[in-house]
Amino acid sequence: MKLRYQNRIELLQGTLDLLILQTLRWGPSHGYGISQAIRANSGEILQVDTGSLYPALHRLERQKWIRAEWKLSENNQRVRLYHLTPAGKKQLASERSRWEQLQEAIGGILNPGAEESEP
Amino acid sequence: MRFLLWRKRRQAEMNEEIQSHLEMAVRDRMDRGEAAAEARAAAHREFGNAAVVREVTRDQWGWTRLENLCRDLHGGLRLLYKSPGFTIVAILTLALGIGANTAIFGVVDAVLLRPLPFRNSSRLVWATERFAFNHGSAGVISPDFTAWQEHNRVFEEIGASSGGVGANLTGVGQAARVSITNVTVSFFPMLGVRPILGRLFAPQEGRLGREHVALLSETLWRNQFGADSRVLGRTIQLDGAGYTVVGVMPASLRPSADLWTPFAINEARFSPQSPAWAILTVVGRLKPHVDIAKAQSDLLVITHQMDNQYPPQAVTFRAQETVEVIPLQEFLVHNVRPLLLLLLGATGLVLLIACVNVANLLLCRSAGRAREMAVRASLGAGRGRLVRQSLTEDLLLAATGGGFGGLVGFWGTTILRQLIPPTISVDIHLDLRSLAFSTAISALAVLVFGLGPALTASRTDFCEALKDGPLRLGAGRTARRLRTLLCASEIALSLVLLVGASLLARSLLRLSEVPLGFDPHGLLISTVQRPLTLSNPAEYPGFFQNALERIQSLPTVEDAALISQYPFGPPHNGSLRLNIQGAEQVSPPQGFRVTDISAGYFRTMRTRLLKGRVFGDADTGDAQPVVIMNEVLARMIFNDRNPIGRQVSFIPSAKTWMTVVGVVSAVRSDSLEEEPGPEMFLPYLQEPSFSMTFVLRTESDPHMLAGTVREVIHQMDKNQPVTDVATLDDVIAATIAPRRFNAMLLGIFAALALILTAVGIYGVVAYSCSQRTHEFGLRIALGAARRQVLRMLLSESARMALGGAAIGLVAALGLTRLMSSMVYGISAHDPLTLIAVALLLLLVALVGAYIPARRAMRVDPMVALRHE
Repeated sequence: MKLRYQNRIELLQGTLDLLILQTLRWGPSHGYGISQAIRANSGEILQVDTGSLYPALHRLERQKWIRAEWKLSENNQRVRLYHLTPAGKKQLASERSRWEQLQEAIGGILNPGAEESEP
Repeated sequence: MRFLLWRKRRQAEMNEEIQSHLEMAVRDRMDRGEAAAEARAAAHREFGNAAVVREVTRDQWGWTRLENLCRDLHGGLRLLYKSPGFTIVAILTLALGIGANTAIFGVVDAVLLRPLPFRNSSRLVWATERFAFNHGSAGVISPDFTAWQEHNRVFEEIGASSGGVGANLTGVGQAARVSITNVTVSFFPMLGVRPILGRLFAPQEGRLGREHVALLSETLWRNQFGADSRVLGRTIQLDGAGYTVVGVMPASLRPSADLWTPFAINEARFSPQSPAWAILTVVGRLKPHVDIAKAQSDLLVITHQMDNQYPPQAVTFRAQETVEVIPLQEFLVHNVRPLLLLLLGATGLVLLIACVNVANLLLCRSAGRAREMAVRASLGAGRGRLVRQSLTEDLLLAATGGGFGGLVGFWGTTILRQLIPPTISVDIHLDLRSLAFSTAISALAVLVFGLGPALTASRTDFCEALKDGPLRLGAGRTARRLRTLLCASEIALSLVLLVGASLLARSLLRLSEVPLGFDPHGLLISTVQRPLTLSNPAEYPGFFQNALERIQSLPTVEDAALISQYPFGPPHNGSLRLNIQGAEQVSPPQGFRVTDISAGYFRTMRTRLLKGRVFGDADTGDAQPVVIMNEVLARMIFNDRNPIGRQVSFIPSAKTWMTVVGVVSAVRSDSLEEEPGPEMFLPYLQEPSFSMTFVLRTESDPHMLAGTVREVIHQMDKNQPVTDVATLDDVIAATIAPRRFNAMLLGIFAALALILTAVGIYGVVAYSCSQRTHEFGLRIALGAARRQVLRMLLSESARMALGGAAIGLVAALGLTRLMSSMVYGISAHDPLTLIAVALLLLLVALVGAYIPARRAMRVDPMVALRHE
């Protein structure tokens, strides 16, 4: 069972980190908020599994790309808010460019003629 | 500690984080108009398995491995604690197996394997001559030693010692009897031993006139001289002669003695023409590239060359001389080797049985836990995690067993240390290597038999396991067959041990029934050895006669007598009285004891007189010399003719004719095992001896007389020590003490094996019964009589026992042959013993099976059928 989750983390690893970091760029948020934001912003396509989300959050925190603090929410509930750190911002930039390279490369493979026809 | 606190806080935070996540999700859903209960259920469903989320998230914190180990250990401890029966049996089994093995191996290692504590000890050899007389006993005649020393081409160094000399040490505190070993000045430098104080003998101290120097043992130095370092240079009195102390030797030196003095190589003791040769123990260091065979042949040539230098009387006994050379270590351990190997074998078997038993227990337990495994797997425990948990538990078991095994080993070592004869130079301590080895062996067994089922269980589809109820896993034919096989091998191993133990026990019994030829109960002995340097040996008998009369007059003493060498006492040195001359010049084919006794000796000992008379008060030094023979010697010399009135004399000093006046029944006096040998008795008044033993008989407890002789002697001469004070019963018991210890130890091991086997059989049958409740219920419901079910179970157990016993008997027949030297009075293949032991095991197997089987028989078919 645990194995199954771990497989998915690996599959999504780079991407999920990127999505989390990107989501936090708009402001601090908690785990539930992040999952809802990703879901809403992807037009309900990407559903982030909690079994992937929380390990990813704790891993990013350990790498000091995000930091967490306990705050009271608007409903007067204690929530764990995650902030993007300066290191996290740098990481986001590099992950973003890496993602774009990947996208380009995959795009090139999927549409071999595209580049020639553009100009 | 801080780590644990941090961890706890972190855990609480994570729980709160997840909780808040869920609550927000529920609130959102309710905001969208869902009902509260529905929203809660949907949020939980969406969230997934919170336990797994927690676990995978925790994995990101690091430290997981350590934490898992802690949790496994904790869980393992809890499980072991929850099934105390299983745990106690398993740990006890392992502890006994490991402990016994460790203790015995420690001794075997120290005695047989580790090199002697001497310089370059692997090249040290013991060399001896053997002559036809005296059972071919070993020893080098002093003139031959000097020849070896001068002419050999095989030794780098050679030295000799001669023990068994005693002297009265006077002038320091209370007079004491001390043992002196004479050594050549080369002896200690060759061994490479150093004094803890002072120096060794100088080369010139091996010359006549310079030899009055002595080395003290550390023990004597502490007891008699108060460990005073000013003892160096002091002069001590040995039998009235002065010796200067030059050094103190360490207590660890073996063979031990109280004192060492140098051999003076002089004409009197080292010339072939002298009658006063010494019998020596010779040790040499082989030159490089010289082997034992070469040394042996070289020395034999030298010995042969010496033959013609001896007087004509010596020719007879030198006719078939041989020379033997063996490594020193082998020489020192030869009498304990078979014993140690036997014990090692026995403990090895016990360890094996212990492993088999634990394996069986583990197999049963793992089968019983299949359902637990399945539940845990379905709750999300990974397979690796399950196996790891199992493994931790098993290792915990093995480690605890090893720990207790160390304790058992420590006690065992303490006991065994006292068993090893003092002649062997060893330092026995608990051997950590062998503890590690035995623990590793049992850990391996535990792992193999614990891990196998764990792997199988974790591989199975847990849904099936849950559906099927608790009893399917491990109940397969293979598992059952394996358990039966393990039980059968336990029976086989136990049988071997039991046969060995019974053979030893029966030998001991036979020995205690051996007729001694005298009545040892109620006898006390005390030995008095007069100084050898006393100017006139003719004064000895007067002193002893005087003392004997005083002792006989004491009211507590019923009877008292004197003998020069008491039965079962120290072995007497090979005497050079080789032949006896009757009217027809017959010589007995073997050496015989010559013992000096007082007139009342046979009466005191209650030895039967067969012919003629015993010595009387009239047989004094001035009267006609007389002798008494035992029946063995009389038959040897005179066959069936009447020896009474015949005249005999000793050949080397064929001056006086002695008349045979009596024949007494033979008495065992060397060991219980040996048939009585030929023996001749002389009246001590006619044959003065410096050393006599008082034998006192009393109706009450002979221990009460212990101080009597000392008091009487002290009144007569305050410088005269009294030694060897003991009851004769104790002396005889001491001669068979190693044998008794041996039998007892093997008996304990065998009993242990028997108990383990019974537990093993019980476990297997009980388990198999619980597995087959359904089957029994069905059988009974279909009309089978309960007795038939019982019979079925018992016959299964009996088949297993018979199979095991058959294998065990074959093994026992092979192995007991190695024990034949330790068996007395019965055959090592004694059929009665073999059959009795096999029957005993069969009985144990049936009883072990009957108890659980009877329980199974009582099963209510309705309950049994509903069981699953």
